[in-house]
Amino acid sequence: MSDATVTTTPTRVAMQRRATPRWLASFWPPALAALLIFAAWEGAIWWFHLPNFVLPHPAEIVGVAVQNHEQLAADTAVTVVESLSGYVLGSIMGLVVAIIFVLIPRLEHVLLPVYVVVNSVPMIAYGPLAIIYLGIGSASKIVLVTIAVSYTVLINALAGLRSTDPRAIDLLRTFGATRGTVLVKLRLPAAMPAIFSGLRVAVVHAMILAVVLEMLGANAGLGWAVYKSTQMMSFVEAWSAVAASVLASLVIYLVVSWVARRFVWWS
Amino acid sequence: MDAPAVRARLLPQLLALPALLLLWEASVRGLAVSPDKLPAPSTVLATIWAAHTIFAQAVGTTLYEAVLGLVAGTLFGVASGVLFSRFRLLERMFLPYFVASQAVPIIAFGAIIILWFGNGVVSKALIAFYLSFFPVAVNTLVGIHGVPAEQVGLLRTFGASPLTILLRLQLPAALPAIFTAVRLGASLALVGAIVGEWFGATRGLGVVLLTAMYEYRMTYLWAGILLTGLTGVALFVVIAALQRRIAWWQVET
Amino acid sequence: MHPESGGSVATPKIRLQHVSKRFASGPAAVPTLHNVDLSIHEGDFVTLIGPSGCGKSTLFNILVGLVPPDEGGALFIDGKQERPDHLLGRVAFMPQRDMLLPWRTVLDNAILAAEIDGVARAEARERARRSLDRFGLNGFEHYYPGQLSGGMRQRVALMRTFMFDREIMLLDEPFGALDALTRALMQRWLLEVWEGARRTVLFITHDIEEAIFLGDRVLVMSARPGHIKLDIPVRLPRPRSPDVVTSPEFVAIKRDLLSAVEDESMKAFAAMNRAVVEQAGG
Repeated sequence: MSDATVTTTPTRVAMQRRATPRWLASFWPPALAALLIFAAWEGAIWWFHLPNFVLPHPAEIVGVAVQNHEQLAADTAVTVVESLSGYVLGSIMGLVVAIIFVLIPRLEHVLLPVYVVVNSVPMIAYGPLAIIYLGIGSASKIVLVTIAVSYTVLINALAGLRSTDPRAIDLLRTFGATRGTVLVKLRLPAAMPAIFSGLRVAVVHAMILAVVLEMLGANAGLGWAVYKSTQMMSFVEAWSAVAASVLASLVIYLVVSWVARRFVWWS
Repeated sequence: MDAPAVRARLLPQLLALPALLLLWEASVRGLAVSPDKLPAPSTVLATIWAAHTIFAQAVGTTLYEAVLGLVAGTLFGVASGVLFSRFRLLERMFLPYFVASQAVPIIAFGAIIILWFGNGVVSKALIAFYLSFFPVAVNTLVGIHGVPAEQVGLLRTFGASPLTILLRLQLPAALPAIFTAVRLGASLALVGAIVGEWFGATRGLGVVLLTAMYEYRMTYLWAGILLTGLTGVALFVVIAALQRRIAWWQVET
Repeated sequence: MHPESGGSVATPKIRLQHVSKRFASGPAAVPTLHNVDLSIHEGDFVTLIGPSGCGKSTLFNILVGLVPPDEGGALFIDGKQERPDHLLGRVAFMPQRDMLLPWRTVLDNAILAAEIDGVARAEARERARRSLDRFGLNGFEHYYPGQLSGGMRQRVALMRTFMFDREIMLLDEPFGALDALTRALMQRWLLEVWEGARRTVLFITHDIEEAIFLGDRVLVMSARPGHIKLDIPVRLPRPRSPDVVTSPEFVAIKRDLLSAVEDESMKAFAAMNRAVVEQAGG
């Protein structure tokens, strides 16, 4: 390990003349896969003479989506608002409680086990309860999403705050640092990778939970759209609602991931 | 992790449940809350006992659906992971979708699965299957890739065939990661089975929850919640026990 | 320039008297330190060697205030007895791992101790910028630890230690993780920096040559229970040139130290083997 060098990008790449640029090299296999899936899809319809209520053409799904785009957009907005509201509330709650638990361990010993027990039940099982108490509007979804997200963020934040190297804490103490200084200058930044990992996972939970709860009971939203379409036998519409929920989640996840990477660039 | 250590870690949670139940019981009685609003745990347990055949059937059905799907998902998932590790092109083509599938509500697709396959056990098991398949496949691949190249090289200098390397080195080394995915898959499978039942079923925990909701039967609802939680925990316990027996050399939390 | 260890009448900068430490672990537990007595004079560079597990790091933890000595032990700084809980923040300490914060730049890592000490950020950064050259980090102020080599990270950690304005510095095997070539360069460089800002230094190492090359005095610690077994002055001229390691005086000191250290190493090795067997239930 020479003293003078600093890590740089491997020179091997520079020396090898690249046949394809890197972005293309990682792009074409999944694109090929998409093509194959598309081909298999159309092939199955053609070969098995599948009627459109069993397996519609991808083009049909897109067509219906475009046709209903206003309704679809409205439903997407409802679901996204529900999940993001719960997400933001739950994240703040999880982080605050994590910090409190680190500062007052006795609270953690008493309260955390209770919270773990409550969350050992899949959150969807509380769905009917929330709907009875809070109705089929957005409130029931937001409350459950908040609880679920707060749990995920809490657990990850606790792990992150606890993962600080005790030798680093000792070192800061030899500089004369107080507990507060250690928290702010060391524990919190050191916990960021874990916290953002928790935030990333939680946003997925939020979207899935919102959609599923809407399928249970709602009057708007993508989950409700899926349920309603299946009840009304408009299968292509069901497909388009499912596709919309997948797309919306993907976009939100990518945004959160991107933000996480910018915030935690060092790990 | 040795048994005493595991017990010490779980002790707070094990104590929390009875403590919580006692507190719940005391508040309901003390505040004379009507059972339509919030039933006491004793009432819930009495209901479970009174209708224990129905509840046992419900738990059994949902458990069967979930486990069936989980086992199938694990087997196919491991196989896919192995295939991906062997054929890099397959990995590059399909892994992005496998990974992306875990960031989106593919469970919504369950509605269509029920349409295709009806109200029986198979459709729910299918949902459980595809929900657990993707995480297991991805983690199998991650686990296999986690084996240091030097170890693989070493075995090759012993003259080991790729199959031997797979069975004697890569898969065992990947077990902790696989078990992590199986645990995740178990919760997803249970959720998938229940949500599938919401779309169409005559028996199961999902049916219990749904019926209780439509008929405003709070005791049944809480019974369903309690049993769902217990079922999930039971699955975890079994998987953890399996892991201790099969992959004992790695401390996995 | 260097007060010789025996026969000086000046008050020692640091004095440890009957310092012991036993970590409670059963009646048969061997104390980590037992009656450590040592004095270090101002401006001295003292090195400490000893086998693994002899309690060197515990001694440092006591000196730095992280761990209190057992009853009966006393610590004196500048002749005044210090209470163990008043020691934190009195001594500049560099642990074995650089402990650089990955989210801070080289510059901000260097000022970390000073910043916590209350120095204003802007002023600390200015001071650090002016020292970059001396520490061989010119141009790297905005790099992150993840981008640096091991030797550079140690230099940043050393810079942080020097920027903590204290008269006493404790360095715990700072060059242990470096390869031999880098280590040799770092030793020479450290002496240069030290000559420029003469602090009182206590330096732990497991490398006998490093101990002799760097120090005015070499202390040898025994195996558990640790105490100072040997205290050898190094009367080689300063500044130390690289070829001093082959001079007859150097080799003579080395010979003495080798036999002493090897003795203690064998004892420590045997003790370790016993511990492993006990733990495995044998």
